Amino acid sequence: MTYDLIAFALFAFVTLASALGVVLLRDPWHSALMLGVTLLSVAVYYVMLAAEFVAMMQILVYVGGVLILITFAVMLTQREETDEVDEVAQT
Amino acid sequence: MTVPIEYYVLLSMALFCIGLFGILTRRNALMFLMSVELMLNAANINLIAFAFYHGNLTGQVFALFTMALAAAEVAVGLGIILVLYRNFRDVDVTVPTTMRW
Amino acid sequence: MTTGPKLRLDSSLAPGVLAVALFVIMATIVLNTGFSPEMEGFEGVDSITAEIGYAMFDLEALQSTEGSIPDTEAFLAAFLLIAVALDAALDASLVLAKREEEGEPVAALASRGTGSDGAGSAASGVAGSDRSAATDGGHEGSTVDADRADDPGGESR
Repeated sequence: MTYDLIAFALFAFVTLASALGVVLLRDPWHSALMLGVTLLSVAVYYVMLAAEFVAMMQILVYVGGVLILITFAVMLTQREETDEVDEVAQT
Repeated sequence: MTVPIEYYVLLSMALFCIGLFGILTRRNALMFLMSVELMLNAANINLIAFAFYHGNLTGQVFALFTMALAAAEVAVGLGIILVLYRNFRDVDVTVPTTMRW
Repeated sequence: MTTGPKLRLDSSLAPGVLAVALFVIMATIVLNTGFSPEMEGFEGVDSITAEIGYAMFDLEALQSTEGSIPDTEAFLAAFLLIAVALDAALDASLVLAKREEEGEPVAALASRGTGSDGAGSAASGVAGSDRSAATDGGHEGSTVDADRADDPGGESR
């Protein structure tokens, strides 16, 4: 009974911490990795809410498709911005 | 099974607010896309939680549709970002001001 | 070069306050809403995935009328709309990936490197015009440039 609550609190902590990592980390590549952690931990709630098919689709579509696309874009646009845009983005 | 629905709603609202904070603070266009993904996931958590709360499958079907639309949105958004990078050599959203006015 | 993850914790006070204020407002609303403490759940449903499929493809004859879930709405029109939207997204990303090279559009799916690579070792001078006709979307200058084996695809890709 309380195990569900403990598991929920644990994964809520993981989700919120990694979501904060997405918006706060400086490198977009690290943000993409944190986004993957967030999407995987969101799938856990779907399993807890008896939505196994949606959880599988979450992992397949988001982690397998969207995150790979974002990773491609990060790698394609990261050539010279690691030095320059960081200073721009801080302002 | 026994986690109250308030916790799920609070979690999804926290996720939504984190995504909103990311959109408001970052200037990298890729971070915009990632924050939008966070907000869409918050909406999906709400849909699934209320589907379980009401014992109705409509929320789950709608969450699947939302996922498909999010995938389409990311595909088009990344195309736009790559065109932006090719034209301006940058993914900062404040650089392209030629379409203003 | 690997760098450790660095946080950026500066110059975002006002959006942070705004996001936290929005969260506090919505949390107040939710905590003042009286939800019933027990969730209904999906008791007595054989397969939730099967029920999702029946609802999504409008198979009313197969939907379970007994059990705890009532008849879910039919979503066939929404499914087709999403399918059309995904097709439109595919077309839009293909259009966005097409680039213009000196006024001539170069499609994203055109193959340029392999054709000139195979013919590059055969002959040098005479076959130039043939090669430019054989490659997809390439023009004369870039094909001659691609004659060298170390530069097959052009620099702008």
